[in-house]
Amino acid sequence: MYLTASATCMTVPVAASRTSVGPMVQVQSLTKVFTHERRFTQLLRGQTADTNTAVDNVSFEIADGEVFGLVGPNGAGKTTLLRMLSTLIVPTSGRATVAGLDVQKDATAVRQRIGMVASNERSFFWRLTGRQNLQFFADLYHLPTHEAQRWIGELLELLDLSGVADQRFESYSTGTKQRFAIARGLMHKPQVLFMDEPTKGVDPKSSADIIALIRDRVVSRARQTVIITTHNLREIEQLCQRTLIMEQGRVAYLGTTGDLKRTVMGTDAYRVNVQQVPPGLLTRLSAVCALPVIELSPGVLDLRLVSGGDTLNEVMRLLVQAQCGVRDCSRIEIPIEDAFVAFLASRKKESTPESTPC
Amino acid sequence: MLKTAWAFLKRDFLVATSYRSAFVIQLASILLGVPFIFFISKFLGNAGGDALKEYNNNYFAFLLIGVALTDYLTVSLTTFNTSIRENQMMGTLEIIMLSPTSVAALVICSALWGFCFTTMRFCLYVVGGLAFGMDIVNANLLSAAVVLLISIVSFSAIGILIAAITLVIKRGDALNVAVASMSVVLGGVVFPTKTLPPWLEAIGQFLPFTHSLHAMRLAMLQGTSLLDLMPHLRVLLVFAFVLAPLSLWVFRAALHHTKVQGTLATY
Repeated sequence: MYLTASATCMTVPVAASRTSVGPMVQVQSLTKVFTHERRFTQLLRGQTADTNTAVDNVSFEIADGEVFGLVGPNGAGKTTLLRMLSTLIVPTSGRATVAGLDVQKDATAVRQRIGMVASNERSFFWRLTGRQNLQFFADLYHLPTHEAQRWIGELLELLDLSGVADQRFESYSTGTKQRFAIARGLMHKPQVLFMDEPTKGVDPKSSADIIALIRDRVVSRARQTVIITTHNLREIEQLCQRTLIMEQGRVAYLGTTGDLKRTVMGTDAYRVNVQQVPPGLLTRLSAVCALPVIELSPGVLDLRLVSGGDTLNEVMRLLVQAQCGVRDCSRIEIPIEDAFVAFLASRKKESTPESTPC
Repeated sequence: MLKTAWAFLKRDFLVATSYRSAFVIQLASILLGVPFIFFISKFLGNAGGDALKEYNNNYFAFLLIGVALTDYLTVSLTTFNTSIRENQMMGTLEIIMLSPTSVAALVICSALWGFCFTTMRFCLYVVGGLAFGMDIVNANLLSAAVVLLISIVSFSAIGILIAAITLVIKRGDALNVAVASMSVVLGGVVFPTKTLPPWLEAIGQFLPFTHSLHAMRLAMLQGTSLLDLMPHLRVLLVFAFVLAPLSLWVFRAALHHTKVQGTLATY
């Protein structure tokens, strides 16, 4: 099934399971414990091998057509979770289904329905051209030759790769290689697309281009179910409807980024521009705000007020009273990075037992 | 399966020919190798005595067929292992394993180019041999083709077993060297196996290469029919029909093990 993109007269794949009723991805108590190879001394002493629980009892569901973000610090278990869902790693316990198919029992059928955009640029054959690479993978997915050629042409157009498609893969920039990875992921029109750090190692400009491309040409038009892992939280904010934060293999948060900000920060952010900052004004403002007021640059103040309260009136009164010449006052978005860091910090605080005096 | 086979052949041909100089040098080395074999055989030709009687006392042809078939043995033992290792190191193994193509098809197809290239080399050996006066007027080409086909399957079974071990232990090169060295010495590439001590000759009988080489020489030099080659073919068929499915099963088990351990892409 195709959806025609009228602006570009191109067709992009629409996930084939629009009729399915249940969740597209269902994860129930999924756990992965890695057993390390025993060291020589452990072997001699007859000790058991060390283990590491990478994913611990994780459960969640992803709806058909949802764009789902997976974030967390390094070693949180994101990639392991993604690999279990894509059949590359066998879970230790629990169950996961993709498009209604069990990732262990129906692994081959699952692979037919998923696409992977890997961050590893070495996952292509560098001595071949981009087009030859795509043709090879199209053959592995048993796509009919004529359909594959037509579809490769459309994908190359869609991702602005037509001009370089016949150059050797080794000559491409990192950003171009990532676009080819996206093209390969979409090649067999998968129902679920996994994106493992699609902008890893890409410069900020190319990174922004790739995200815009994913948002405008993959997500908006194709409406596939997408699971994306990244360390760039702004990308998550731009693309994802819901986000799962993983920490030490467990689900730490599941919801929207907006809810995360509200839950964690409990504040609204305002930026006030004044002509001058009289002595003592910052102290007086800080007394009524949720957090100490920061002067970002001369005359530019960063204020955090308790969400839903009427502190703004009090702030305005103080500003007028101080005769500082208010030029502008606007509500600003709290950076997602701040919310993320605050969230992890609050969890750390919760998990640390209070020290008792001796 | 055909589509997958064609995809791998095309890919490996394009990669191989993208290294133009190496590709040409590999083929040209045969043209240099044949005269080398010719002069060695001239020097050692009469040393074999009665041992070469069943090969028409033609040591040049004996040695040339031995070297050419060793090419097949080497490629059968190494191509699966090399393919796994290269894909692990290049980072392409996981993405290939993510396709819905069966493991058996992936394993077999990844070796096709190696066999095609070796067949080109084998033909060059024969052409070179003819140029230096190798006498294969009596050759039974049908017998030779059947022996070659069954030999490839038997050798490949061992190659796939080694590739399975490589998946798990990551480095299986030493196994390749061990099996290849044993086969070359005990299989009789350079000298007839009859010249070996009886106990070593007996050990050689457990290797498919020994039977393959003997049958190939008989087919090429004496024109022996398939019926007369049956004792050797029977051994090769056992290797082909028992060891080949077993090796694919072991490979699948090894792949599952790496998926449990999470080490599919590590090397």
